[in-house]
Amino acid sequence: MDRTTLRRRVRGIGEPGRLRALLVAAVMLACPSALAQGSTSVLTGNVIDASTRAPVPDVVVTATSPSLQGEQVVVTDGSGLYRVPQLPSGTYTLRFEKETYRPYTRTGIDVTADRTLRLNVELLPEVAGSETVTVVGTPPVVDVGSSTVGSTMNSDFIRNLAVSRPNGLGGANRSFDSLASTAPNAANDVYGVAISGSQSPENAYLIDGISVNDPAYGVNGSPLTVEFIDEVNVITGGYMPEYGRTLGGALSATTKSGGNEFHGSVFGTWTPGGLTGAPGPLTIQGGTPAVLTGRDLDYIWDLGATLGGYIIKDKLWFFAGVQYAKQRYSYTRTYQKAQVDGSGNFINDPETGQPIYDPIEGGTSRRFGTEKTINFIGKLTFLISSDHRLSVSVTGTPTTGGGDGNYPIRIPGLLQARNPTNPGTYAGSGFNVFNLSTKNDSLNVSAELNSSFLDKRLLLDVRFGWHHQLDEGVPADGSEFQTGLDGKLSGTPILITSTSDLQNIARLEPDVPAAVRQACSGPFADVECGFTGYAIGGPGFIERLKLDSYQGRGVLTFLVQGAGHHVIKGGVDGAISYYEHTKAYTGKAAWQYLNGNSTPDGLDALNEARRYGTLTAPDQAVTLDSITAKSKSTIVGFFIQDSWSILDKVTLNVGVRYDTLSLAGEDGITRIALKDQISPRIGVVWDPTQQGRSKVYANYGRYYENIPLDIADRELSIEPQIYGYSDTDCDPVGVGGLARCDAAKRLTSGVRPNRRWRQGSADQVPVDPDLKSPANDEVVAGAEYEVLANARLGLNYTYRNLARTVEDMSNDEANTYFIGNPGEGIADTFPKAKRTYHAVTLSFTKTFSDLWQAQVSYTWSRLTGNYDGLYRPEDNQLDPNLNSTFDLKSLLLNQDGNLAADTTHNIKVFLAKEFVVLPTFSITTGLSFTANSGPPINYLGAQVIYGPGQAYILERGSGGRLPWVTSLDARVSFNVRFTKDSVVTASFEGFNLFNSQRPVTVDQNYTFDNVGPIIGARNGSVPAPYGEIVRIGPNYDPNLTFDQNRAAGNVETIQAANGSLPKPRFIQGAAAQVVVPDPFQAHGFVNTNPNWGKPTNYQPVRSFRFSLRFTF
Amino acid sequence: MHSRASGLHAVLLAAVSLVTLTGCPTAAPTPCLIQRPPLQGYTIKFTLQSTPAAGCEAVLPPIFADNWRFDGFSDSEIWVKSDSIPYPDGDEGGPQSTVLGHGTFTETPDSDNICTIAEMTSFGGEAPDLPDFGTISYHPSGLRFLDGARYQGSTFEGNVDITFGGTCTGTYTMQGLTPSPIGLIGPCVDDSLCDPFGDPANGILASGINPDYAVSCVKEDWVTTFLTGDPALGICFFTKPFPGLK
Repeated sequence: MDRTTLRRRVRGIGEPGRLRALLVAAVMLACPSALAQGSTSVLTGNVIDASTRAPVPDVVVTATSPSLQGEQVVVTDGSGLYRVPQLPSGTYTLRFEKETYRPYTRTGIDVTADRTLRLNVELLPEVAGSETVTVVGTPPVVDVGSSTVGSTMNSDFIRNLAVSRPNGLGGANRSFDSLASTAPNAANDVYGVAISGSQSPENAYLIDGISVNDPAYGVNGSPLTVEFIDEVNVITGGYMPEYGRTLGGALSATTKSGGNEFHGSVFGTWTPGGLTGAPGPLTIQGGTPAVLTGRDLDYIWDLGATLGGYIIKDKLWFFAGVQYAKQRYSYTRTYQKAQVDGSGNFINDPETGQPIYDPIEGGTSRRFGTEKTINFIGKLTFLISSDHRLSVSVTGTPTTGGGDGNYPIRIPGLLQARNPTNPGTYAGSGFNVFNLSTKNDSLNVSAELNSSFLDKRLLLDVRFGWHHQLDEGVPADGSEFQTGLDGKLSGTPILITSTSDLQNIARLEPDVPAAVRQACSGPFADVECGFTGYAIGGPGFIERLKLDSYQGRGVLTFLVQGAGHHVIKGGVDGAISYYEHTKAYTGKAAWQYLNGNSTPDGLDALNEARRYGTLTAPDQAVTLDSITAKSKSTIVGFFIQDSWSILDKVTLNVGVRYDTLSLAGEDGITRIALKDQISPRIGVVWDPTQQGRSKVYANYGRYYENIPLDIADRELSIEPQIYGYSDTDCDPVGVGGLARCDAAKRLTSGVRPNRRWRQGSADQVPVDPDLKSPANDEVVAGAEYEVLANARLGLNYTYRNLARTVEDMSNDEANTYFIGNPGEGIADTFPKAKRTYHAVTLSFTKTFSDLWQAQVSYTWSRLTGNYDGLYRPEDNQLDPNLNSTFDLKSLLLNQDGNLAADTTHNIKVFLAKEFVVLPTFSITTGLSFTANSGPPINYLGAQVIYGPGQAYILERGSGGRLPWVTSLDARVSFNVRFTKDSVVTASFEGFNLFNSQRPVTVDQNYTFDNVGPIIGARNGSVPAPYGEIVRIGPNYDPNLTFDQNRAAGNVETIQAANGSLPKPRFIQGAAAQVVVPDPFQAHGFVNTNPNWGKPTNYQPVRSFRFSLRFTF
Repeated sequence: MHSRASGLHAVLLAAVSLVTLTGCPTAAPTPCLIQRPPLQGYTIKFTLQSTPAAGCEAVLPPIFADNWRFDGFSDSEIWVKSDSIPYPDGDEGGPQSTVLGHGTFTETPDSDNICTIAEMTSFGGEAPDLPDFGTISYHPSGLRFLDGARYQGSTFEGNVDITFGGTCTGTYTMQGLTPSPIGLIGPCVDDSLCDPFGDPANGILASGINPDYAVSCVKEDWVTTFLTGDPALGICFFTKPFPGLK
């Protein structure tokens, strides 16, 4: 095909009739997630005559690979440029052929997903009898086509290194997203992997190009096992306009495919609980030590198999796999008894001033927490013709937990959590409160068509997808949402006992061991074995979440010449997501015993903390068994971009994308419509070597958040609730309790239009009519150079700045709430949301070749602002765009500073080497070392409206930092090869080999009392008298202010704190009291929390995983 | 360059097609809202507009004050009760109660963010804390709430016929404010207590009044006579007529 013909064809695509037909087809079909995947990589380069240095046109370039059906053929243009697009990742061979030149072949070119590799070639003029020139090794590894920053973990990485720690996030399942934390600029957070100063719910999670984000909460909704994954591409910045809808990064997994040979594996892993290390000591928080709980891993194991091959060679391939995984923990309850004197009063420890507790002999009980997961995959790859390829994949991760007398691993309200429930959660309640069975199912269907026309100068990529999730926590007896069914768990309400009066645990809890019942039978048992706020009855809150996201995408790519080469892409994409949320309270209501000091009439009462229902008129109540809200989001976007290789020296990437997002609550009416998402992107890439072995790059982009549906479910939908007080003797937990308590309901008000009832959450939360979209601005710049074969050294700078966010707020201190942009529109009295990230990363990456690989990085970063992101780290509240951070203006005082994820230094070292002992036997060793400096610590107190942990006494981050956390992990594999492709591998992985137990979180509650902040103060600059430790004299008059008492000599300051808040300590058997601002008076004193600064969580303990694998 | 221009043309065509297919999203306005009883109702200033009938000059106060609590129900039904008029003995509440007024709210605000209740049924009874009046009966009409996401019905104006002692009726205008300056915020001695956000660093709690409202600590006779009972104590209330914005 000559150049003229090609050009004519290129012009031809501009003809309206033909083009429209193509586009209409694309649009009608189109529309997904805004991140590419699948066959997205490109091999490109220039072909020149070795003797004349002139470009050689019309060279036939043929790409072949075991991961490619058939072969891909292109022809160089007049400038000698070739470009082989739409390549799935794999190892490639390029063959260059033209009459009068000696054929040239390049092998061993490793192509990872979504990369453009440049491979320039010099052809030798042909002489008689000459043979093909074959070059092996040192193919380029630098992506010269884009300024995208990130890293790729392929099957070599997974096979050679200890990754996906069993007791870490997604570890039991060995999910693909657990690999992402190995990338520079990435770090684990509570719900996943955080990237470049953002939080994990802000990421895009993709499997075969389909978004698997939880549509409601943004977290990874499909933790598919790495066994089915060919590679994971972690993009941490510098996206082109074709990518969007994320403020974090993109974790994109490509599943394995079949091939022209049959390959497969049978595998199993086992993590024994008996070999895990001992955890660090935790501080007891809240309640009393009458019940202590602990959690120990019993085992994690999985078994599975995969098979890939062909149905029709070079035409129709398949891949299939299944894995069954199970994890079990032991939750142990240890009952203790307090020492009391002859009058039944506590005997306190003279040093700590706290009651002394002794374990009750025989007073231990144990239950298991269980979870089972089946991972499955089925994939077909069909080469329709040499220019059209269709891939269809189905993946899923159905998961069940609890039941059969076991605890679930996750609980309602926290179904999105990935780590086992904290044992402390189970300490304050009877078993039936958590006698639940849970489901966390996901199903993903992806269909992708890659087509090329005009000798691959016009490309069309179309994809459809469906992501489905089911998350539920319902009674384990199968009674589900039948909340009126007496005698079943669904019909049994929860009751929380008095939070101030001690009650004998043996009386509250029917399941205590006999030894406890006997030990707690004396006259002072309410004190000795007393517990406050204990939950009895049924499960209380139960829920079911059904989530569906239907996605589509169509992209056209044009190759055009003009002052170099242009790769012009334009496309449309979109998704419609639904969230159906069914909620109920077992027994139709949740009850709480209230002491008289918190009831309207001063009498003890049973308060319905929750009941779903409505009032049709004053006191005309309708109780609902459950409620179901269905919310919806619609996103549509399109983009256009030009990747212009200017004179084939410098690549200029420029473009823009535009998205719209609308959200509707249960009434189906769109309440949020965002139409301001214009995302300009511009980047420049220069390869000084012009050989694909280096690049210097810079990129600017604006990115918008894909707001999850939680906000539509919670604030654009109504969650109708009615409340009331009942007599304390109506016994709501027993059979017929609801009717009994309703009958006993007392009149609660003489002034309201409703005498017996109160209404709650009866209104939607209004939205600022000028609402704008949450957005980030990002600049990345850096350089990469190929220092060794298959190895590159990189230096990168990343800057991210939050332009704005969306949050719920109250302009009148919790009287009314609205959804708006902090600092703008009707929230102009609030400070703007701020989050600024700077990072410099030095990295060295070598793909597996010559029997070794390495990935080493050091990142210096700084993360400051007043807004952490979509969840609040202080209490892990995961409510994207409506957490409590901005609820009240008074909560924002002193909130500027180093954010929770600000860890200054991050070091990651991953090294692997294979030793070939015999031709049939090798040993692979992998060593991983990670270290990061500690995040900041805060001084928190209670905010007068929102309670403990919400007020910053000093500026954010004033409490110093946690220590460095390090972990050394290792993997050793013994590989016995029977045939060329048949290998048995026995592996041993050790995680945190030295069982380093450094705290990763500490108690940040300096006090549980209400405080007012010391504005603008940090440790060292706290003005007097704040920070002074005070001793209250016997003449202290509670009717006077603190200042008045001090003036009267009723207060003694025993120590000044030298401009700092003193560390909590005990003075004369009681926690020190310290002068801080008081929201009720100019300043007063608070009781400090002795546990402030003490660990609440440690890094994962040492664990070992053994695996056996047969691959063929 | 013709090809490139055609490519751009094609993509733009696709974008326009898509937007046409999906429609340009538009958000519906915020529904009308009133503030419910947890804010302790609306404190209302009533200003006499009519000339008192003969014999009623001394009965009808030129300016009067009370606290009303509204609550909303299905189908935009609104019910209201006065703090001055307790449930009489034997009145178990409910829609038949004589101390409750009833009206219908508009569903969405007008272009000025106003939601209205055209008329409410009469409600009244004994007012034991106001023995000079004996009984009080209200018949409100023309209630206009300042609404939308920014104000959410936190102030209103309207007209009301008030009958004192069963015989003397005067027509008053109303201006109401929530959170209740007398019930939730409490009496003030100076303007610092009216600060919407308070000063938690210096021991002053937030009033929670919308920061756009022009309010100060008002100690006029109608306040001290009917609300605080103490000439030194006022309430945080509007200094400007409805909508009372700064």
